[in-house]
Amino acid sequence: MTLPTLLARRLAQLVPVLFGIVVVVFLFVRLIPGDPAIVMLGAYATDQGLAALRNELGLDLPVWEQLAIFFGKVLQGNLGTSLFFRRPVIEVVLERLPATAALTLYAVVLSLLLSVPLAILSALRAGSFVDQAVRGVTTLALAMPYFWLGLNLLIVFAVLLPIFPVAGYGENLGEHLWHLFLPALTIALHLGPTLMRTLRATIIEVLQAPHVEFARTKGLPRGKLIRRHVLRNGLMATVTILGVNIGWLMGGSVVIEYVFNIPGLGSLIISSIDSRDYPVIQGVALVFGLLVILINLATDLVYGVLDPRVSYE
Amino acid sequence: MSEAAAAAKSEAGPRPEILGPRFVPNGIFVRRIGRHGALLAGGGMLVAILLASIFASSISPYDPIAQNLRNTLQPPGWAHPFGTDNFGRDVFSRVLHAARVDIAIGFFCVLFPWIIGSVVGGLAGYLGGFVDTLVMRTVDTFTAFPFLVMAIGVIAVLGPGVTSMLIALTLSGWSIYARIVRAEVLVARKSDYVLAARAMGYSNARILLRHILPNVVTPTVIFAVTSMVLVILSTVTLSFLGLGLAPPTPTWGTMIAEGRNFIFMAWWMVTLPGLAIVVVGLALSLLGDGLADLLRGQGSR
Repeated sequence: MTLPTLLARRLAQLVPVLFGIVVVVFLFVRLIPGDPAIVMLGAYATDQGLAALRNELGLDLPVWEQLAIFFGKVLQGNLGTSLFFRRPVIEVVLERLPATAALTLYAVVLSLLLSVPLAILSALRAGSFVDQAVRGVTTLALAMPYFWLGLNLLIVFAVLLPIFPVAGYGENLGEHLWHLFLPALTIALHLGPTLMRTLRATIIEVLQAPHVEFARTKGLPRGKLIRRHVLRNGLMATVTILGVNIGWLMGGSVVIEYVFNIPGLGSLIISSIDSRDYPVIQGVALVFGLLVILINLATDLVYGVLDPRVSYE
Repeated sequence: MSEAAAAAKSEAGPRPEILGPRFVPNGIFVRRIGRHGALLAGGGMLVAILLASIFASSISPYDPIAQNLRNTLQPPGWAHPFGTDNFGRDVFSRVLHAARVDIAIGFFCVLFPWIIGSVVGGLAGYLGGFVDTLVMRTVDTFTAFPFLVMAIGVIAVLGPGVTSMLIALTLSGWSIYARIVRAEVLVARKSDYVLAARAMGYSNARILLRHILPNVVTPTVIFAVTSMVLVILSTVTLSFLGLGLAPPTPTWGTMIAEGRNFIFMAWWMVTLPGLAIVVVGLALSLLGDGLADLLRGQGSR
């Protein structure tokens, strides 16, 4: 099957899921107990304000019509108006997206830098003291709550030893990298262990595969053997794990953005809970859902490039 | 489980030594002992934590919510092993009292998605057809949302509180169990023993509950146990974000959230309550890894 056909088919499979995501996001507001308009605007809302909001949300229409209207608006990129910012939700969300994307990407890079060398070291000396120590540390790292680890890094590297800034995002690329280092490291310290474990298991498995045995028998130097025959297979596992964990990774960035005051989607959704800005909550949830789906699609496609054995049926 | 244990023994037998000594993991035996050690250590730690949480009132030196405004923000010392907070409350006593609430919430947040997801997945796999398609598309939809984003959305709708948290984590957690159980049921449905049961004229309900269920439950137990750490961490995170129990009842998450405002002068308000979470997390992941290996019957990973 060629890549375009594959892409078309995968996109067609996504349609029901995309539909489902819009329905769930739609239900967020409609399931509010009582009158959503009163809940959204608070106890001091004026009658005109309430009437205007009811009209905008179409609350007096039957649910199916409301859903159809909501759907039509979403397809046009209209996610409603933020009650707090008094601007279109799509604008607010797109403004915050770059910081979240940068943080996530940064965290992925850092976790690869952490986990790949450790996994190789650990797998080649499986059962040794080094291996046991690395595995112990990863278990410990996985038992820590994200936000607590982040706060402790802040205490040590920003308060006690004022090396890194306490909060914020910076103005240019250099400052972004500097400001985002501690938050990205926090996420990496969580993602890294999961990657490390899978990669280690894969390398141990590949080391026992016939083609590696053959390569060793023919006298290939060890370094070349590992680079050419072992790591390429390990790469596949890494991509899979990254794809599987992307939703979890982005959920984690929500809390980390809050802890480090980074102006991204995560801190946006949390501040929107306090201000009862339901259109923004809907918008952020929708964008997160879409991102996860698109990244999973990308992962599937990358498979084909990395591993020629993968044929899409 | 005796079958699984037997399988574990047979699988851990001598491995082929054709690969030469350099690459063979030499710690198989050591690691098997280590695994049982992990199970024992994790279980032991958990029992100790549970006892401490049950007898929190008798162990803790101070009243967890009694304020003492002359004694605020004291660093850890003999009188207050974990220091005091901004209201002069003893942090150690608060950590002990929070344990009961946090562990109970975590337990139910594992239990509910497990039961609901398994039932839905089992029905989808057994009934097939339209029900199956509908359920699986719903599962896809729910897995598309990041865990925390889903939970935050639900709590934003229902308002903060323990019930909302339970509903939120059930809604974001059930889909994985549904997927696991459905896959298992699809296999079991075609097996000889189900065919035999059907030939005997048993009802669908009886076949599902008495014949299929016992055969498909193990993978969900493994997943439930290993996911317990993540669920506890998620509930603590939600409390930290102010979406769980309201003050003054102490929970680990809210304690750390309060401490965050004093991060420049009282590190102990953040770091020490978190240590309790790490200890629980460590106990659960040791227990989870150990149990998973015991049930799955392999010594690797």
